Amino acid sequence: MEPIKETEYIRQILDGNTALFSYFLNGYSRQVYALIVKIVRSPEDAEELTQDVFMKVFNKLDSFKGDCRFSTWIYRIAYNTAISAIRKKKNEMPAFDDSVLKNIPDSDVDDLLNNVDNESVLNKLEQSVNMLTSEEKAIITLYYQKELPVKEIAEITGLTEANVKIKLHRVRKKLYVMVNN
Amino acid sequence: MQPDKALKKVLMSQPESLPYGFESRMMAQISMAVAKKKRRNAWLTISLLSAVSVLLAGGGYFLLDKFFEFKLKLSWPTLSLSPESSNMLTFCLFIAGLVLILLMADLWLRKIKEQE
Repeated sequence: MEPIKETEYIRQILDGNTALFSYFLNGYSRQVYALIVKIVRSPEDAEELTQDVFMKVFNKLDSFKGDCRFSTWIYRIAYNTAISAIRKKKNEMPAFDDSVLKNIPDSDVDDLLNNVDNESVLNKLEQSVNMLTSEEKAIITLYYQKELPVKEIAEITGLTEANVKIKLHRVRKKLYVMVNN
Repeated sequence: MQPDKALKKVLMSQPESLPYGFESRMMAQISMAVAKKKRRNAWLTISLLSAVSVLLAGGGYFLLDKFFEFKLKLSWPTLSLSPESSNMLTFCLFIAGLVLILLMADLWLRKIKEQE
């Protein structure tokens, strides 16, 4: 979506032309839902949270200053809403032992995560992705599925760029361990 | 970083479709929120205007009474009704009451219809 067009639409919505909000709904609802469903796993909860996100976006539209892309701003609201919901339910997986990850060679991880032909590996990988923490799932979804740059993921999650890179690196190794066990 | 094609394939393959009609339901919710906000603002304006009007009237009366020695006297007129006019008044009050009840019933039925 064009940023200039979006800014103009926001101005018109704030002036009372609320019907124009459907432009943002049609443009972002699927993407927001895709991110939330990865984090919370339940499609029903994800739909409810997507509704909450768009109500928040509508009510806070006047606080969008244009200092980042509108999509980044929406993703940030979606990420925070989903993470808060997960924290309330407290159904996170137990912490992973970091010492295990340190001894895994990067080349092995690369080989595994690029092995697209082995169905068994893909199935195990899918199961392992579902077992990651909500934050990790959100980061890999934004990086691999939405193909956002690390800088934008840092803006959405409130982490530093270096931290996002570390987490991505850690998640790759974690998936390797999960698939091989 | 490596492309990690397998991980990408797994993430892309998971279904993520919103239920049919999500956008229209969301727009209906937003329209309701806007209408609610408008109603709240209207009530706030009316309340504020009423409060300011009462304050101004009270202040005006206080000024006139305290500083200008202007005494405002309110007295109710005494009504003497003949038996015929008394009957007529009772009849008028009955009709007025009936109209009021019908208007309230109309409002109530309209609200039910709107909710449906």
